Amino acid sequence: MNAADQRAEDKARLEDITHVLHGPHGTGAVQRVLYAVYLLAMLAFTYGFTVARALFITSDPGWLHDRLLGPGAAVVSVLLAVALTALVHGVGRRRGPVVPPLPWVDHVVAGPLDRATTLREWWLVSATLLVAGATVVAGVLGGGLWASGTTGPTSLVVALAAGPALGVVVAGAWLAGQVGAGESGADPVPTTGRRRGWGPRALSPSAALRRLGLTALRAQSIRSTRLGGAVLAGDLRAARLEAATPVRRGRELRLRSHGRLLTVVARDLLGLRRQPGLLLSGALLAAPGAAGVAWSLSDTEVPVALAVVAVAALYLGVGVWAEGLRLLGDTLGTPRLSGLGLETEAGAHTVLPASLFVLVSLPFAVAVRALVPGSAVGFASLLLWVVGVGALVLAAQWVAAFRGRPPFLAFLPEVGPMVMTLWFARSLVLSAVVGGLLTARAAHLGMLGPSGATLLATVALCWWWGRSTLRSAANEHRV
Amino acid sequence: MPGDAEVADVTAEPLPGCRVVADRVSKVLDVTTLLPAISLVAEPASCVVVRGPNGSGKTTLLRLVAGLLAPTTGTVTIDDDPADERRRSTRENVAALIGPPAAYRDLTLADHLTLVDATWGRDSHTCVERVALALDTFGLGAMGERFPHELSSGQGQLFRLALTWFRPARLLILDEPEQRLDTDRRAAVGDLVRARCDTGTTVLMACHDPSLTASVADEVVDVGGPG
Repeated sequence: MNAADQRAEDKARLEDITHVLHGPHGTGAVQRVLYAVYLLAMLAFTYGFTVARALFITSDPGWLHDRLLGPGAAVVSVLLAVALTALVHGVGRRRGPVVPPLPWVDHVVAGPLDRATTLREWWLVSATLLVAGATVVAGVLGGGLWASGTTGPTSLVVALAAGPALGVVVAGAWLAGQVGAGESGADPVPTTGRRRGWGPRALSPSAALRRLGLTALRAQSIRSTRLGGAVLAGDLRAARLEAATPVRRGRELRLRSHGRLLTVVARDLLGLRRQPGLLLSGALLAAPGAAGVAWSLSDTEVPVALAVVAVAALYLGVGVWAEGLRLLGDTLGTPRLSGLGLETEAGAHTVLPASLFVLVSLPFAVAVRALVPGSAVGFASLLLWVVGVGALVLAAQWVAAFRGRPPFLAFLPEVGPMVMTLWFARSLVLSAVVGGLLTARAAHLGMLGPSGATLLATVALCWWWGRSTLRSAANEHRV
Repeated sequence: MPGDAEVADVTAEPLPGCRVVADRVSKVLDVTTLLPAISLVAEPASCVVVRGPNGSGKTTLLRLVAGLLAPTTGTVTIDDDPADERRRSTRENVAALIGPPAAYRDLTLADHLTLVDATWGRDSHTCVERVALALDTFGLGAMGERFPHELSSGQGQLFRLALTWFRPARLLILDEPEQRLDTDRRAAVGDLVRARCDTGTTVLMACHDPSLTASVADEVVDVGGPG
């Protein structure tokens, strides 16, 4: 039997299988994807475009125009695209685009049919959604820039060309990540008869699908189910354990006893040494975040939105470094092994992210201030403000780490997803919105006086909230 | 596993045991009775084994004694203080293995024990020796550099036992410590329980293994009918 006949027979057998499992109309996956794309486009046009346009108008179109058409914007865009592609490649190693249900993997993919044929539908669904989503987001941003008068119609054309192109690249990286994870340490798949990773075939989705192994597909399918369940149940510990890559490096490093508190700090440091990616990604978020805060303070023409985004980046960066704090939150409700009180231990787990914040963020803040000519902001007051914002995002980490159980409303079908999303995002939203708005206000009104007092009061309030969440989370299991 | 004397000297603090009294304690959630009213007394340096069929409330009883749950009726006291893990005295006195303790995914087995050792304020200069001996005691001496996710299910159970054993405690609560262990390991755990009792610690454990129960129990309490 030649290859064409084999493909035709595989396709016919797959149609038979689909008919048995789902009836004459098939899985309906394509129809569902098309409907999702339709909904996405409608929502983007109705709300996204309006919001984007309003955001650009309120963010000083002239200021944006100058920056978006400068060479710096192109460099930043390319860097962001590369970073996004690398990030999605990494995500693919834990949760790729091809994740069929476990029974399909065990009973169909494991059979003699061509693997690319049995997996194609899942790949097409994920890739289509990704490309369509990228196109819609790019169209909304490009259209918003045009409609707000920030740029001309070219921005829409460029966005509609770049969006899907980026979507295709990112989808390919996603699949490559999944293939790479499955082949780590494994022998090359003998189907191609050529050296892996080279030549045009390396870019073929079908060739990539044939390289996906059964064990890896099963693992990703099980993980995906568990991860979805953990997110829906608000079980962050389970979600993190499913999403995180198992640690295997640095086993020759040893934790040494340095006394009750310093050993906890050393534990967190050891965790980052064994996961240097966390150290780096935290720095890649915190450094531009601090730079953004400093820029907002140094230049009164910077849009408010930039300050909000900068504080959000700071929060996320510090959050990456605060793994120990979250792990402590995971242990609440289990018999204690540690001899430290909960608040004392939480305080010890805060030392490392706070220290890294000072080491990474403050130099970038000073550098940005030095690069803004004619700024009336003094270095000392700027540093004090950035430290204040750092205290705010650290307090928000406590709220996030000890958030306890989601509210009852999160499990109601009508409002559950929205409530759960808000519950997950509340500490990020709080710190970004409040910290960003206060920073923008301080840039215009000065950092001392009412602005500084408001920041101090907000920091104190957030720390009080963090301590309260710790106490309530520690007690809520005792029913 | 090395001899009992080493276990008693190093991995267990020579602390006097507690007197545990559960007086007609029960637990009801909504309309579901998790544990019918039951009483027991565990004296220092003794081992009380709780038996009963699945779903009879053994784990609930252990959680009540550990202070992790509030009783619906009755009281649980540890040396006349209410069992409540929010109280410092309960946390200081009670080491419990009830379900898997939360392990750090970025720490090796030896690191875990080092962290526990340090947070209890033990001498940092001799920490390495204590950790090595504790791992040896539970048959994990060659696995100190492994991460928890790299253990088999039986090794994982031994690691959880080692963690629970390692912290100082006057009352040791174990929920089916024989789980996932082969016959030899079960017998070794029995020896460790007896050795721990001999140092003065009070031990309260749920167990489904008749041989292990016979080898460690000073008293057997049946929950929900004969086990």
